[in-house]
Amino acid sequence: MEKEFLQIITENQGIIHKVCSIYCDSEEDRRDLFQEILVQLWKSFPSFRNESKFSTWMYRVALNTAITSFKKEKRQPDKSGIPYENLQLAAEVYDTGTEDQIKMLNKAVAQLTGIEKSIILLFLEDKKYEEIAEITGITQNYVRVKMNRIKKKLKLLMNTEG
Amino acid sequence: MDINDLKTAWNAYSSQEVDKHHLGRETINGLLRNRTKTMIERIDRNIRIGIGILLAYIAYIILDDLYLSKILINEPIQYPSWMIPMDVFSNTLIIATYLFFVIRYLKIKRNFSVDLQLKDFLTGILDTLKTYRRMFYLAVIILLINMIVSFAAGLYEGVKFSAGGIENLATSKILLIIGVGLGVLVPLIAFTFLALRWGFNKLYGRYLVSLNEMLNELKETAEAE
Repeated sequence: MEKEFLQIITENQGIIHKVCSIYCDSEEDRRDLFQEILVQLWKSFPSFRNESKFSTWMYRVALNTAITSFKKEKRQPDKSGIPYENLQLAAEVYDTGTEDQIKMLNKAVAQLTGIEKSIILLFLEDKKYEEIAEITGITQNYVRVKMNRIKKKLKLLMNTEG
Repeated sequence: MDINDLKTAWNAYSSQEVDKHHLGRETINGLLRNRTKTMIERIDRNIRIGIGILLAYIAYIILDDLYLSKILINEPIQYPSWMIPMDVFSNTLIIATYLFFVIRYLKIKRNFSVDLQLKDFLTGILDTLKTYRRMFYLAVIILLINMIVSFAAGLYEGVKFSAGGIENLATSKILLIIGVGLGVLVPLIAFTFLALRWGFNKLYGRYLVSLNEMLNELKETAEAE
């Protein structure tokens, strides 16, 4: 089982990295959260019964772990979300427009609550409302209501930042 | 800017992040093997430690009442009559509450898993944490009751030893002893309680508040639907 787990996690680790990107504001937090998610996935792996897609199950465990991860005060020196050094790296790869968008998105997402972050991540990952509802366990209507509120909130935050 | 436009930016950024942080199978295996306890596991461990300590304490109370005091003290001590029902009441309360917590904890554990859907997961973890808080305060109350009973017994025995009994003392002296006793006991108990409460809130208070807020956020949106 361990071999199978390692194989499947190595192939799908992008999901964990993306969750870490949206929830963590430092490399240290990111490492801790990655490990915490990994451990929870391993512990829950025997209960995965192919009733849903593996990615759906993985998102659910990763997001549940992320929104309840217990960060110590000292690890929250700033609330900038995506680390600045990463933005600089990004700037080497992207054009100025994309870089500005990432900066704005980063600052705005940092203002969202844990649950809102999980919904916006799934939205940015192009998940349908149906799948977002399946991952989070809330109804599609509820996701729509929440998504509309998040969109308004993000627009407002980004306009303020812009 | 339309929110949908951000998807392109996010895809570019997240792809780069995934590539940058990509880990090999061996590294992932290493992370699993050198794992530290997660927050959920730490709470779980703390509850189990609490259950163990309280069980040991209850066993000690029973042993002490039934055997130890008879073996260790040759001359039986005459405790004031009001202390006996108080002792029986507090012991019964401790044992009953202890059993309630153990049953509740096992029930929560049986129904709790990290791969539950968000609302059930939050409810589960909050229940676990609240059980831990109750267990913690039960231990604090036991400690404080123990301090009060021991202090009262010590004071009573001290008076008996030095003056031959409370009936041999003048009312003013009895009031002075009670005043000094309370003057020492009340700050001591208040300090112990506040220090332990501060410690608990420092470790778990913010976390409890934040989890409650998340659950309320889910409930609020469900109601608005």
